[in-house]
Amino acid sequence: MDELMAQFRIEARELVQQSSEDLIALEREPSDRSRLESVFRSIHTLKGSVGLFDFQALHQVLHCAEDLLSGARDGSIDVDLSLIDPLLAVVDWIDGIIDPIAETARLSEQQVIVANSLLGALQKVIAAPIQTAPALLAESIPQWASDFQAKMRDQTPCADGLVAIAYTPHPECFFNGDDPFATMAHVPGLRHLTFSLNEPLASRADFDPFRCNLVLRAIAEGPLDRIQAVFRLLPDQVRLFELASQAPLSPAMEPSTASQAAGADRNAVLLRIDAARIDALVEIAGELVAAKNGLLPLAGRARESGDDALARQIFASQSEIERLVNALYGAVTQARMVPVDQTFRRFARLVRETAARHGKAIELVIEGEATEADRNVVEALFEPLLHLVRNAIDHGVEAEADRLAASKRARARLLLRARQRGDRIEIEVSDDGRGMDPARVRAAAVAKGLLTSDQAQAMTDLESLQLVFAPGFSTARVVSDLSGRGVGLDAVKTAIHKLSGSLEMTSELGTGTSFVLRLPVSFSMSQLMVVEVGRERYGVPLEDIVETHRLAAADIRSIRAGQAFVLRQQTVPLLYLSDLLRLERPVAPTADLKVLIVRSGDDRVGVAVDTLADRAETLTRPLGGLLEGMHGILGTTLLGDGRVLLVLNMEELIG
Amino acid sequence: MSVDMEAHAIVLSGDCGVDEAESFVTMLESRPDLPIDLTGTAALHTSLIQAIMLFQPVIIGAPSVDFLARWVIPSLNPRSS
Repeated sequence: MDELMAQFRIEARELVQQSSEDLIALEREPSDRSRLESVFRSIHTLKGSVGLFDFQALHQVLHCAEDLLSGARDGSIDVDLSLIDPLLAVVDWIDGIIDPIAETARLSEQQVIVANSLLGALQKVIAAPIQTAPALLAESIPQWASDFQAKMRDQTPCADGLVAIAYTPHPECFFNGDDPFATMAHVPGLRHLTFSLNEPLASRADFDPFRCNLVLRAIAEGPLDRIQAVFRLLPDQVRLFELASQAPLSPAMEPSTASQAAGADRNAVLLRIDAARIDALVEIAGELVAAKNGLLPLAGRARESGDDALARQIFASQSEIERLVNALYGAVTQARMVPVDQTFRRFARLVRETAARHGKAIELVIEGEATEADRNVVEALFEPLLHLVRNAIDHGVEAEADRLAASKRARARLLLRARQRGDRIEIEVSDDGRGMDPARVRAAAVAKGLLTSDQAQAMTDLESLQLVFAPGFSTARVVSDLSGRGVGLDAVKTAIHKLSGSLEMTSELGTGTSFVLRLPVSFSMSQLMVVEVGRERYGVPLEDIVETHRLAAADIRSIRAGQAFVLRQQTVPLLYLSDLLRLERPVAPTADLKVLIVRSGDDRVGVAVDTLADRAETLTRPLGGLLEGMHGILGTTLLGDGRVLLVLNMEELIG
Repeated sequence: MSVDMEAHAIVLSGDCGVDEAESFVTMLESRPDLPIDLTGTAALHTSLIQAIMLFQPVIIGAPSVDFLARWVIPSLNPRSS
């Protein structure tokens, strides 16, 4: 695929996404002018991109869609479902064909047929009779009109103001009996008229005398309604702009130029960069963080050799470099941050469609979409959120009749909210549906053989609800019997865990269910505890360590083949890191043991090491090549002295 | 009325409608040297104005119709007399 096509693919995706979102917003709020402008711009830009390739049928569809939106902008077409539905169908269809057509660089016959049927649907909207009186009034004043206005300033002002008229007759208008100049002759109080060819002709041989290829521009004296009356039958071809009389010259631009200018503006501040390049920068910055630590021992050596002045200088440079490197690291990490909006916005259409399929009315409320997190986090969020949102629609939200019977609003509310909490991002998915019944969850768990009925009886309601996360809890039958959900919730929890996150759920019978996901804002930097075993050093992610503990040899109890100790009235199994790594275990411990208390599922496990060295903030790189997927190893990182440190995956080692 | 090719000019007289467009264009194509005479023109259909814009013949005479004389003819052709 050539670069132009690759660019098209990226851009088309964004534009389609934006359009779909705008259209859905317009469906809710038809008077939302900014959404209308936005979808018009997207379709207009998309049409332009499509025009670069041999996608003629697609181009025609977009052209027609643009006409419709243009009509909606000047008020000649009502913004309602009869407009939005066919447009959404177009956007959906394009969304589905971007990849295939980018591959083949052409439309298949099948795609052309679909394009034509979509085109037909769009044209029906245009052909529909206009219900309301045409407003014709556009908002921003075109350049030529304000130029003219400037020239007119010293002339006699017009009491009713001036109206600028931009009239682009339809190419086939002669066949409808239109005579654009004759129409213009009927405009009262004409002050100015220019006309030109709309599209330049390649040669006179191309000239078709029966095709109108003109643009007429005029300025006339108001009032506006007199002029509107002249053009009332041509609302789709005429745009009127009210010029305030004697108004100071405003730097208004024609809408198309305005949007181009806005686009250029965006280009100036936004740069599309291949994520791999940013990742490379993050890596280098991460290594710099480690490399600068190498200066410290140098200073120490200078001091040992008696050169205090040199030592001080090295210290000074070290702290300066440290400051800069940290700033650099922060800035590069920042470059990887994207707003969760990217993921959230994909739900607008999904919710609309899924809800429609289930015959439920659901309002999706999105909050905090500007909250940022690492690109990987934001991308990885989609799948788990998809599960939760689908579950909420499938099972959480009741049918409309049931909602009304329970004195709830007919339209259910699904909230998707992001917030930043320290170095974590918190995402909430909650519905105001029927909620879960702890008793039924317990009964279902017992029926599934996950626990005995005695165990179930002993559980609090809060604990019972957590059973839905248990592997094997949810099967289709149980879920459909049960009022709640549970489809793959254990899978969701596992996915979130993989991202070093957590998932919590609260639910109240009758009022709704809420899931809260907590994830690190950024993966790139992690805190490590460096430990020594024998003569080797290893890194253990700090987030895996609950606490460190000094254990007297006498306190170790042997239990069958294993060992354990008591920590705050709880028996904690004791493992040796050297065993876990299959290293030689040092002779039986005589002195106190240094033990890391780590989490293993819901339990805690003690892991003995020889020495707790220092903590380090480093960038952990996943293993590559032959080492990829090696059991118990999370990745590698560079230490300040240039040595490579293996970072351990404690959960895998213990489990 | 009609569009006629005469010895000195192509003469457009009376109401010249869209039905004259094709023959008018044929005349302009065949005799690019001839001026057009608008003296007796009462109405000029847009299709004819468009053809004049494209072929740029010399224009002689001014129609009595104010709209054409004031707003249209002056912008049609810099060579018009």
